[in-house]
Amino acid sequence: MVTDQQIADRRAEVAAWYADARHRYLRTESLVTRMVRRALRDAGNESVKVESRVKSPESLVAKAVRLRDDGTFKYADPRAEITDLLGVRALVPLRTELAAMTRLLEDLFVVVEKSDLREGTAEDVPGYQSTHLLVRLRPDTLADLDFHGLGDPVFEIQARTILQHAWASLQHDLMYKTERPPGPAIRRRLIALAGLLELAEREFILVRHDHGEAYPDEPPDDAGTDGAEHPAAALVTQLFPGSGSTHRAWLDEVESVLGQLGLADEDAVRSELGDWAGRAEAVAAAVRATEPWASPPYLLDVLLRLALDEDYLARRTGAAVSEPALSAHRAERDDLLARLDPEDR
Amino acid sequence: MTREPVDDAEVCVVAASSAWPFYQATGSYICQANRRFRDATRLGFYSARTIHPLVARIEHTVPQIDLDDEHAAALALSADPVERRVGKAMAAGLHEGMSGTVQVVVLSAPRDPATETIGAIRHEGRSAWTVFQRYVPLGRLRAAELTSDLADTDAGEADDGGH
Repeated sequence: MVTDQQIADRRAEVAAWYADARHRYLRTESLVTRMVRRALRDAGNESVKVESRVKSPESLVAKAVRLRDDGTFKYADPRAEITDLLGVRALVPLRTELAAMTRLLEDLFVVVEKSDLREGTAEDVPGYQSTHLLVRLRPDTLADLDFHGLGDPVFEIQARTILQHAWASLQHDLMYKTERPPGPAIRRRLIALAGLLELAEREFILVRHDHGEAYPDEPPDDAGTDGAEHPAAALVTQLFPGSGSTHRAWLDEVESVLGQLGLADEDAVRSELGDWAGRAEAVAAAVRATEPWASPPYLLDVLLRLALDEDYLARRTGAAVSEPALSAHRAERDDLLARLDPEDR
Repeated sequence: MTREPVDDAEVCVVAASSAWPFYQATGSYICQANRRFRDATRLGFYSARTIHPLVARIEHTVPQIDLDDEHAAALALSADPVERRVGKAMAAGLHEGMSGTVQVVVLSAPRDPATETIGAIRHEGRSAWTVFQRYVPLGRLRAAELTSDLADTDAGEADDGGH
């Protein structure tokens, strides 16, 4: 059991240490937020909003003297265990953009710990969603003159969407900053609001997606999305007109598939497709009925599987095809053929 | 052909408000990376106060992979049928707005004979039967009408949360 004197001693000790250490965190905050904003701008992602704060001395001291139910200190060593002295938050418009931003942050810093507090953790209860990274500066960053004298600070970065943040902020204020904790009925309403915002975000994603499909000729605004200049782009656009822009990764992959099949140019592909080229749109509709995500390069691959039938796998692998692979290929082909109008088979 | 002793099979029933329709559409399950299913060979789905009637066989698991277009495209266009199913599941996940580092579980499809059909099991308790996952032998799921018939089954919430 901790005595009042031990609490007073800890208050004094932590306050004295932080009076000296806080200026280093303030300097780190300024350098780190500038670094993150610059990296995001360089990556062409200017829609991310970056916020930060350094913990106030009062807040740190209050946290450092928190007690467990058994009356002992919650933090045996608050200097080492309290890791949110500097907190950075990066907000993206929608969760489809979270992965790219998180990857960028992971490249920028050394990740000590990563936790995804997302819907998968309690799938039938909407609520708090955020990715938390505990990071430190990379050795090459620390070697930079600007960062000299900062020690090796560990700090927290939260990555979430604007709507996830809206819910977390309002919920936090209600749960922790009101005089009495909310009862079950209020908590239930908060959970319902989390569900509502999650649905709103899904709708925003769909709206953005559908808008992209409706205006395929607009220049792409995503650095990873590229239609016109890729060698395979012209072919898939002709075969599947009106399909919108395509992520470059899919074009790269289908280009590699064409290479494995020995199809060096558009004429070779068209010759191999034969009549299937004229049925491309019917095939696209049948595929998208069950795979609405199907991009034009994926559809081209499906078309080639239909046209080449069992030769497809042998030509790609250049080796004998295993029975399970052949069986899966036949099942997929039969399933798709069954969904096509008889005249398109 | 000998039939596997399916009634002994351990089923991991996951809380699945969005995963149940996702499984029906894709024959797969995407969850947080490195989530463990202990010795379960099958996956069941619980949502809307019901354990749903399809119990899928776990065919293949990718414990940790970045859910992005690069990985989805490389796998969905693979000549290997299992990789292709993983990639298609990932592409569907991206389409649904999922992101981050995930685990992809390829399952027997809803109409695959390897997927067992049971009666839907209703839950009448006040709180959710599970908010994460629980383990039940398939034979007990087959015999149950209500989740109260599964009263002493193993709630794996504390042990198996992955990261």
